[in-house]
Amino acid sequence: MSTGPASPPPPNPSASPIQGQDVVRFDRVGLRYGRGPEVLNDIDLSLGAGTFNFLTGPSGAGKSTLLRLIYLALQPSRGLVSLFGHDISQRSKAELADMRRQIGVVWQNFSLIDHLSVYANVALPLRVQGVAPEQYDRNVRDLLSWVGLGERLDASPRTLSGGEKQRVAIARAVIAKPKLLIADEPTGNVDPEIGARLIRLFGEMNRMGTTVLIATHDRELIDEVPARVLHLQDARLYEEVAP
Amino acid sequence: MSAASPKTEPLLPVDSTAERPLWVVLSIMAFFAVLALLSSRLGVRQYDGLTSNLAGQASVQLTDLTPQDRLDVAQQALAVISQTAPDVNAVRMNDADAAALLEPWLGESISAELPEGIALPIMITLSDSTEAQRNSIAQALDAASISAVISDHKNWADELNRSARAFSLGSWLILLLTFFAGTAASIFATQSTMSAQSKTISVFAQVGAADNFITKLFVMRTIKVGAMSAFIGALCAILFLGLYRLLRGPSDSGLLMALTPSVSDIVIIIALCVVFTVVCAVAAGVSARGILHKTRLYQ
Ligand SMILES: Nc1ncnc2c1ncn2[C@@H]1O[C@H](COP(=O)(O)OP(=O)(O)OP(=O)(O)O)[C@@H](O)[C@H]1O
Ligand SMILES: [Mg+2]
Repeated sequence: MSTGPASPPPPNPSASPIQGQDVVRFDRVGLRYGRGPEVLNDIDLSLGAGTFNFLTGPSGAGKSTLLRLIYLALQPSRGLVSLFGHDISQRSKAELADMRRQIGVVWQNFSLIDHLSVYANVALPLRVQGVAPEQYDRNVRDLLSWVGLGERLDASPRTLSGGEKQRVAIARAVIAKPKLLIADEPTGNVDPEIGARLIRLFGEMNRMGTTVLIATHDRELIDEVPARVLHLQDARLYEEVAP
Repeated sequence: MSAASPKTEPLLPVDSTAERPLWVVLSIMAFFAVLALLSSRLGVRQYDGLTSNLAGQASVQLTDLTPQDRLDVAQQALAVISQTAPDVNAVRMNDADAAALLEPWLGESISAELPEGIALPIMITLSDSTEAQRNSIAQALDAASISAVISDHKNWADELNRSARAFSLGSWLILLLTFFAGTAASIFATQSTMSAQSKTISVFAQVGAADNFITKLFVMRTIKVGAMSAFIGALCAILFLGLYRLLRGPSDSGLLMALTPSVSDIVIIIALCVVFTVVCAVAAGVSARGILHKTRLYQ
């Protein structure tokens, strides 16, 4: 916590929670890849607006798969997926694209653009939506300082370590203040101090109204934050009750 | 923030290895297409020049001459011609040219010693004569008991016209084939360029860029690269043709003719570059849509 501002970037008024509405809702959702076995089986899930949730489970349990379903990158083999209160099977292509724009996402492989600088990667979600540079410049710099990359604005992602890439990906996922933030192992490559800082960032986003779902193996992280914990095992989803 | 302001950073790389196939293929294809186009048009124009020069040209060959009387007969024939058709320009060809012209019929001996009593025929060229004038000249020469053969080069002109037509047909065919090959190759090159950038496309989609935004970005980029590489290829072809004709020697107004393509040539070359560019742009748009569709299984 030696560099950067004392608190995360300023609040975003547009991401206020939708009261009494589930941001994500699964009804008896099943998924198999091709002709393979069911990776997910009869999943019922609801993420209330403004909640903070963890998703755990052993490697290969289907955590990334579940996040892909939420991001609409995968179609369920059966069951019903609703997003922001809309049954997605009833929505047009344009509406789905619109919904996707309200989800911030951090994938396990970061998917950064190598020919853009760290700064431009983080600014990308705002830029592609036509926001003027003067409007986002300050926010991008502050956010990158907060995640400890204030000195690497011009660097190419190629020259970053795994943990640094991960922080760029996280900054990019939150810069547009999405209604829903999904992150796949966001602290997998960083040391505990940075990990704690990232979790504070997620907490701050959540306080401003963003619904958060984080897939992680990291037990310590889960124990640190008072949040709902969902557990995937043997293709089924269980809710962990606090001891 | 140091050096380059990130605000102006282009979304697509300025110098991308992914775009290399497009550069290479399109400039080569434009080179060949323009080469085929220009050489065919220059060829057709040369044929046109030859055949229009021939039209209205005729020659009078005075035969059965003796070495003693040939010059008198020539004088006499010229007088008869100018009397019969005063507005036809009749000129006696010098003997060396006449010998060269007649060589195919009379053999090489003509330029050497002629046998005793045999004289080299006299050639008179007639410019701007009509067929009626040529007929009356023939009659007048006959009446003056000068034996003469009048030829209007019709056979030669017909022959030339036939080969000109074959040449222009052939070169149009080659042009058409080059054009189709160029179009196909440009499409493949664009597709390869686009699929090399599919990660960029899917990340743009992931951060919320609308499909139209992404498609437009790549289409505009392809238009830029396509137009530039087609232009470079076309320019190389024009220079190449000029150089070739320069090295071949000034057999006609060669270099000038090749290096200064006519206005219609330039219009056609520009149209060709535009068509190649548009084909690439459409291919880029279609590929971008395809990649977007694939990255999101859900649509
Ligand atoms: N594209 C795919 N095609 C076929 N099978 C897949 C595909 N992606 C994942 N799987 C399978 O689905 C199962 C769940 O994978 P998933 O990546 O969701 O697990 P995970 O819980 O995220 O694991 P980890 O903790 O290691 O990231 C695995 O058995 C995996 O082999
Ligand atoms: Mg995973």
